[in-house]
Amino acid sequence: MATRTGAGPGGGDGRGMPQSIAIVGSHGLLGRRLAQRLAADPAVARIVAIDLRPPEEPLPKVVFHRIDLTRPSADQEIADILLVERCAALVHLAFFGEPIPNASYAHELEVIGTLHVLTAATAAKVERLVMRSTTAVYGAHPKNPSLIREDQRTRGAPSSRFVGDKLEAEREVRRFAEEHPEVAVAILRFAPILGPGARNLISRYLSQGVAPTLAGFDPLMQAVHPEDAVDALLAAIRLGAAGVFNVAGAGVLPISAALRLRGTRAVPLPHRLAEAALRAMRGVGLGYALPASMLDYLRYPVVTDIALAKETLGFKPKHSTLEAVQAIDQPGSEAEAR
Amino acid sequence: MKGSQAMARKRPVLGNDPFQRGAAVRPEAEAARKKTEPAKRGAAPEPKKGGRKRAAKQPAAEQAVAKQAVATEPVAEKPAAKKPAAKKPAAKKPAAKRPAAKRPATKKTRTAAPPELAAPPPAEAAERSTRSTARPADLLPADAGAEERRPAVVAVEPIAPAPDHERPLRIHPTALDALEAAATAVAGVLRLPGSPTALGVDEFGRDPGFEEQVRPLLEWIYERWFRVVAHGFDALPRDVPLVLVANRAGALPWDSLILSLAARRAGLEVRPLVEDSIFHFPSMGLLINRLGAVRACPENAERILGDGGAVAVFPEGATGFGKPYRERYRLQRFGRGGFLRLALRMEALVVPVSIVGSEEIYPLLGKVGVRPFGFPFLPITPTFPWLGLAGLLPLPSRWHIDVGEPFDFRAYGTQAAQDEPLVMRLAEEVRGTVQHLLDARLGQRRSVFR
Repeated sequence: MATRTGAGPGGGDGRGMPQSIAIVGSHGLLGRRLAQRLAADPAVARIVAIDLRPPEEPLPKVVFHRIDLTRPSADQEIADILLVERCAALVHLAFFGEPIPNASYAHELEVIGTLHVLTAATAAKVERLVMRSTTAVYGAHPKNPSLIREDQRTRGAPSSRFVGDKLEAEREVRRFAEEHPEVAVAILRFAPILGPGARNLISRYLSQGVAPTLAGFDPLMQAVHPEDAVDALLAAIRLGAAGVFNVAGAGVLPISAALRLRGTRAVPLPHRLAEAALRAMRGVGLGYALPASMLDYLRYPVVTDIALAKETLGFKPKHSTLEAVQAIDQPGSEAEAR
Repeated sequence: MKGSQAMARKRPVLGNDPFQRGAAVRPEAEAARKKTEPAKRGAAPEPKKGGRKRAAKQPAAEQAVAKQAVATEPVAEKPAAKKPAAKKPAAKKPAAKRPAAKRPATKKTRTAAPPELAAPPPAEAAERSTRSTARPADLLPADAGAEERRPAVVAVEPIAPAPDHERPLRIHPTALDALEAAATAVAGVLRLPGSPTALGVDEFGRDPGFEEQVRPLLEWIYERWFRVVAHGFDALPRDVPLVLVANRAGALPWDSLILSLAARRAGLEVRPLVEDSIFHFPSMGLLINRLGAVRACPENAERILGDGGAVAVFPEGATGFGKPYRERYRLQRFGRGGFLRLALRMEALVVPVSIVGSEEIYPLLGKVGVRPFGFPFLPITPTFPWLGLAGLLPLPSRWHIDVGEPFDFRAYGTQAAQDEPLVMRLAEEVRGTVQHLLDARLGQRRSVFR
């Protein structure tokens, strides 16, 4: 998926917002915010929200369909909806922000669910597909350059099912993009989404009061504010962009500085000890947010280059990484968080 | 060696034009390469060098020429090392002594054999006359090739005068300042409570605030511990991307830190590229990263050079700091020429830099094949690991940093980076020049500590 075209080959009459847009995973933070923004766009006539749970507050133009992505018939059901609602664009956001206890369900939802979405997209001849991915798929590897470009190999985290599922789902979408050149497929790899309303692995890690770190290491991190993330999604939908794009806020922050900003006490441990401690805590049922298999992310940086998104999507982050970290738990976000 | 022979053959084909800037360097590098290459080159002498060669062909005239050149040159450039009165005896000694000391150890490789024969160091004008007169008697009979090499010696003379800058230092830290800064550094790396929060870190990991706090310590080490003398930074152009190429030594990356500090004192920001085993070493990697070092990989270097910046590379890599003490200042293989490919691609100038002094701070006596924290070996020095962490204290040798004339390879074009033979040849040329700068400085040095 090396294509870096600005406007996709599909997209019907070229650029511009499609009239009808489907959002799979509309109940998540990004889904809610995206639906709000799309509802405010006069060019959009209809927003099809697909999720297990309906939106809390009714929005104009939004039609909700309850679909369980893990059901074998999900692809047919989605395809039917897409055809009936004449959706030209599909935004796939149905991914977990943090590991859930039932890892096999997560796998079903993220990987099999993605396959269902892709099948439905093929059946319904969707012209634009935007998928949410994460920069974690690059993997925390000692050979990472300071700024990772989109063409770098995605190494993932070998022993982490959480990252592995994301990577597998993304690979399916990349394969789909190769097989369906007529569809404009954009994969947005988001840095950890931090800010008002964001509840995920990283926000929890940063706000948990006490956080393990690895002694002698303090990698840099990036974060993206939900508002910027939604901006990038909107741009990708509007332009019918094709390709993979890193999306992150401006600037970087050492993890130690992020912890301090959150008032969290860092406990530096040697790698082995930290691993043992995290496993023990999980075994006892304390369920600390950070899985031991992701400790490498506290050791090597995963910092991405967002030049391509800037150039192709016109993405301009309004918030820096620092601001995103500071905006976790910001007041005024409570309404959205619910 | 095979590589250099191939290079020798290729030379005339590839032409000289790109060397306009570095023209003066080339014969010198040539001379250095000849030394490293036992096989005689059958190739015709190079057109550019020819003129000078001819002028200096007759041995009798030659010395005169050499002396003249020295006399006409601005000799005042080198105030620090030697006074004219004491020049002759003092200078003669190392020239006479070194072959005896060095040769036996390195005879096999011949890389080291005649460092004194090397074209005179750019910075060595004052000493040159005495050395060139002493040489024929000492060494000419030793091998027939010497005659041919001599002209190169003369030819190099007009090389960049490498002004010594004794610019006023910005910080004169006392030992107390240094201690305080050291405490800050430790607190910062261990992230003790009370150390400032690093908010201004750039995307490569450098923290200007932290750097400023640690600066007194670095300056103190620079001035008082290693007593660094830097030559030639002022002559470097500021408006082009630069790739500084230097020798690497010591298990701890003092050379990276000192080199970038020396450059900064001359108003040049240089980011040292550091190999993985050091960069990912706990705490140490973090420390040097916050002080500006960058992980050595093409992507990072391209980004810095693309922004018009300067990087320092140590192409010897891990083999460089794994050199045993007796092989100090003998440059190892220069990787696979990656730095040169980089310079060609990014249209950067290649600046040969020699660091003398760094290879004596941790005399490496042996290596133990365990890999502590991913480090390639456990070094055994006279003090480490016997004295524990105190054994990591570097020995206070005096450092000399010599910056040679930059090579301008830009005329080859960016696609020349794919031309493997060319890349290897040019890389070897740069290596020869760095080795030559080292040899020149070593020949001049009277003691490790002075």
